[in-house]
Amino acid sequence: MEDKDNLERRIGRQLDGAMDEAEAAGLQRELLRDPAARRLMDATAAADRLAGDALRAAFAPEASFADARDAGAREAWEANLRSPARPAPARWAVAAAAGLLLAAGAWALLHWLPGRHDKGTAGIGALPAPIHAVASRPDDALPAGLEQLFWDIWEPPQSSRGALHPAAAPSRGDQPVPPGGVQGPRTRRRMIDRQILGVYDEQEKAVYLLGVDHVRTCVDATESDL
Amino acid sequence: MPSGDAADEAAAADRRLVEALGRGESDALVELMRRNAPWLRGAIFAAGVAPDAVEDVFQQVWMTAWRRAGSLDDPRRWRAWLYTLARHAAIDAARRRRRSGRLAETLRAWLGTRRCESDDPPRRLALAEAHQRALRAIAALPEIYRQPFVLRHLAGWDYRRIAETLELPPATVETRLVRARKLLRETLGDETR
Repeated sequence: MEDKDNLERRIGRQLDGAMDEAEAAGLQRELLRDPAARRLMDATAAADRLAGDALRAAFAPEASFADARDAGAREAWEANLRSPARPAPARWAVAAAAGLLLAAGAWALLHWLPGRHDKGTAGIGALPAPIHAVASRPDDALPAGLEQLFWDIWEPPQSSRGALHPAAAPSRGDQPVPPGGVQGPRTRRRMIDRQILGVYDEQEKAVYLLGVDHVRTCVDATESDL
Repeated sequence: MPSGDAADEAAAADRRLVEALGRGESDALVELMRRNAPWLRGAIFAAGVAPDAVEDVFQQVWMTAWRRAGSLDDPRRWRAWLYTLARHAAIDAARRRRRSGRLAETLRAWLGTRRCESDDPPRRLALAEAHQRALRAIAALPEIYRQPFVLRHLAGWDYRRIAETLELPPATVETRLVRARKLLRETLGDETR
């Protein structure tokens, strides 16, 4: 019985590739000499192979991320990972939010000083672009100063608040040119709608601002030929 | 088994990914999932989860790993840490499943619909049935034998690496593999002749 246990162990080491050459040669000699040992080796190897194949077929199909289900799972995962579920924000984001808050405080103080109201900076209500405040509680409203600050510090090239701009380069939001093209002199106008999203992080007591510009360019025939 | 150098390189790469995971890099998580999916799915199955529920538990485990990565003190022990997360999640899932009493039916249904890659229908059917019986036989092994056996086949690790993951001495892993093979041979003996 002890011999059989020893043989079983050596067969296992052989199947696992854990034998050195001397051990393998010793096992080989025993298998040649003893038909019962050969039968044991064959039966063990066959069962091991079948079980391994069944496991691989079930749990390790080739290119596991290539088939549709796993591709979907991967996308869902990546979406999850990029959601705000992860509690700790990046350090740069915390620093940026803190900086924004400080600057907003300074701006608000200056803005509300007497004689500072008519400098041409439009108030929130006068802005042509829609403003969205997303907050963790319904009664959380972004301070007006923050949104205004965002307008002031984030100016994309060739634009200002929702105004029309001539001769801007085409963008991905361009409308298609009509069939046959626009004949004669034409004017290109770019319209920018800016949305500001604010997210309040209760843990960090910080507000994160995100500005999104929706840019649309229109090409119109001018009236110079009329 | 993979050669020692290749295995060590893979382990070092995994460790770097784990460290990146600790820093909150989501790409590291996706890559770790890709590299470790087979053995982790197997470990979940070996902990008693029905095959059709493995994927759900697998995703839960990675979600937990993502959330708790910062609490991993020693990145060298990440595999054992991940295995422990998987085992706990698997045990919870299996317990819920057993309570509902649907494990056997689900296993039968899943095995009946499992896709098989052969183009030869009779052979495909025979192979699928053989795999069904083999999976049942593996599922019937005591867990202490089932875990190293599944890791050996799905991860291809040597005794030392399986031992690190299961936090056992390598000699114990070897003994348990011998017992697992013996039990499988007795169960599947007619099948393989």
